[in-house]
Amino acid sequence: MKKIWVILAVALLGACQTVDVFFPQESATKAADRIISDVWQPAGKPVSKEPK
Amino acid sequence: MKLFAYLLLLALSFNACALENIRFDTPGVRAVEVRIKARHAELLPYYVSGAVGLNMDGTIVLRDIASVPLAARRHLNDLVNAENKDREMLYAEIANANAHPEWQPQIRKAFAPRWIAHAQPGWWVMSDDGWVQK
Repeated sequence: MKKIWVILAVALLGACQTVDVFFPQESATKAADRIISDVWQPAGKPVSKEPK
Repeated sequence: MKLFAYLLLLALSFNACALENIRFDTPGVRAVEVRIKARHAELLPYYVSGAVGLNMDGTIVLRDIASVPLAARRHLNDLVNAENKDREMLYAEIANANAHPEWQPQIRKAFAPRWIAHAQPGWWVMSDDGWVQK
């Protein structure tokens, strides 16, 4: 039974590390869209603060 | 049953780690945004006239200096250089905000086509076939 927990812990850590090295492409594209609409919008509107 | 538990836990851990969003809500990012935004008002007429165009690598470039009055050329050159520096700093700040400074080139790559996508009709953008007017 102890073995299971060791395997689980390793799997959990492994999943985190594996995923962590991937660049979140879709989220980066969304961030780019948000920022570009902000900086290129007609003057007078505030720069957004929230990532979505 | 055991297998199910493994899969469930793996799925949960995957979600916890994979659903990271790119963060850009730091003072460093905002400071650069404010500068780019302020400069845009000055650059806008030159995008419209075609004196300045959008490159495919996320930078801007002086593409028709002859159309700019002599007196304004130096200032426009400075504007373009400052804009390109700030865009690079924006990519670096976003990478730092995500604790992944090595992501800077990928962030630049993510931004490059989006600048072009957001360009207004009539602006000049670089394509595989050279300059085209949107």
